[in-house]
Amino acid sequence: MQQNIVRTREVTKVYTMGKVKVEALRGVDLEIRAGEYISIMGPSGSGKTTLFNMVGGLDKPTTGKVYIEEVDVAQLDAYELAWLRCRKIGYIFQTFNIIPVMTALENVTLPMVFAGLTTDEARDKGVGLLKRVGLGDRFSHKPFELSGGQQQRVAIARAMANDPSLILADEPTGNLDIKTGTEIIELLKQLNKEKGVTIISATHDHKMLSASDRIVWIRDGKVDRIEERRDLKIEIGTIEGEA
Amino acid sequence: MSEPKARPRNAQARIGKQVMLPWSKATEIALKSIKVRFWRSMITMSSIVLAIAFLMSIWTSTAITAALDQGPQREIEAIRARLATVRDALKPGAPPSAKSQVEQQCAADLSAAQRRKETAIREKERALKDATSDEAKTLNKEVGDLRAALAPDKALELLRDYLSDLRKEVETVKGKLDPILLQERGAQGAEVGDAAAAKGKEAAPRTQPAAGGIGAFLGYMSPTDKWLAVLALLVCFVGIINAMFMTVQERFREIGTMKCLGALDSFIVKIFLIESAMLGFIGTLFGIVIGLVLSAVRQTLVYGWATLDYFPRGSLAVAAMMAALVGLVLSIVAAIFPAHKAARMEPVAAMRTEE
Repeated sequence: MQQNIVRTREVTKVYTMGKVKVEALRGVDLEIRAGEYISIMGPSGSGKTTLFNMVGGLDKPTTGKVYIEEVDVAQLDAYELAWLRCRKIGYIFQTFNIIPVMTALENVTLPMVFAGLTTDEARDKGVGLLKRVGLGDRFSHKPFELSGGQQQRVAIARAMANDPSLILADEPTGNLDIKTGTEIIELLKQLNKEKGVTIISATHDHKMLSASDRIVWIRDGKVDRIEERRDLKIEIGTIEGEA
Repeated sequence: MSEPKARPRNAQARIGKQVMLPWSKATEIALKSIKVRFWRSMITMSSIVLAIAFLMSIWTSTAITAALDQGPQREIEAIRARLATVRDALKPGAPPSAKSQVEQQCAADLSAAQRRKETAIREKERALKDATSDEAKTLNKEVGDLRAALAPDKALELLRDYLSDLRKEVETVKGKLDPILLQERGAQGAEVGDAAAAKGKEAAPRTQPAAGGIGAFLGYMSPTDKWLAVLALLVCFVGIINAMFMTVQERFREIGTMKCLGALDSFIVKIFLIESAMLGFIGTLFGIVIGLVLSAVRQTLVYGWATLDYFPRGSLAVAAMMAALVGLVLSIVAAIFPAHKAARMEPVAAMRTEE
């Protein structure tokens, strides 16, 4: 029986905007096994992003519990959360979010510095990671010198910096063309297989479907259904289960 | 829930506490951020340069004015005091102890006077070689007089000559003082100056000078100057806060991302404080130099070369240090509020897209 890396129990999230209460999540139970590649899909406003933030340790539920590696996220203080984000979780964003004032290598080694690695260790590891994502000859480039796809690769290398158990990808292919997006998804799948790192992505991109082990469909703040990849019927032109 | 903070023991061992707070990394990022937004940073810095330059120029002006007020006067007083001591000792009814005391005190001056006469003798003897017969006669007489003056019982005579030298010095210093006094009288116009001049006294400074030399420049600041300086610093302060808030706003993605990478709030605060401190430090240095030079040049144009004779190095060093402190503190304190706003930003902010 595989360990659950993320587990939610009746998670709800209510946002109060002035006098209006918005129920973003209305009771979500989810179990994500270690080593899985899981996609959270759903239309805008469905609570997809909110759920994503919950399982990624970026937000705390109003009621209910979120467990990351069996640790209740709500009980952690700021230092522990920072440690979690540094060592256990890697983040990939739609807008790449590479720090513009630093080179690719410096970006990748920044989380290593936070984790306490020496400059030499960090450098070696960083170069290795950049090579793995296919940017071995570009580590001294600044972000503005890199294409979108290359920046996302740097982001992936950075997310892997401290050998996390979990990678959270928020619309990783959102700002990429079809070809580049496919390459990125391929890279993520490879890393998932090679290192056994769990990948949770929130996405609209249907290219992600074939790479995912499971797909969680969110609708109106609740889990609509969870599909295994083998159950998906992918037809040319349309994809089953689209909201 | 009986123990809200309880956690299964095996899980507790798995979560550590983030403690890496690398100052070097924060400094590196701060430096790079300045470089990347170079011209904007320069504009922010210019407000510090101007405010500190203004402050420093006021302090320099007042320091130089104070030095010109007090310097020559003190010199004259010191010379007069020595004159008085010696004169009293030379009076007919003076006790012998006073004379010997003066002789002791003036031993150095005496030997200086002696040396001067000996040098004069040597020069004249040298001149004798090339002299014509008439010149030789005059020179020989002079040498004779000098030799006589050097005789042991003529020690006090030597001293009298020395006193006349001192009196000449007083005249020279007074000569330097006159243009300064003239300026001050002109500057004050219909104010106190005329009344004092009418009484035949030296013109009084605009405000009462503080006792003691080094801090005098502070006491010399008029209320208007004080108000203007405070105002300049306040405007600069507000400008820095404003600029920093804008920067924080712009860099929401960077900040959110760093928090996702494990940066603590204090790390974010450090980045912004260091950035502001760097700009503040360099801006302050420029401001001090500019303010000092501008003011010194102006004072020299107004009061003449005497300004450089009485240049108040000590006061200005103190003023420069105080200005540096003011500038540094100002830039750091101004950055505190924006830096904390940055630190409180949620990591989720990194994911915001403008839709």
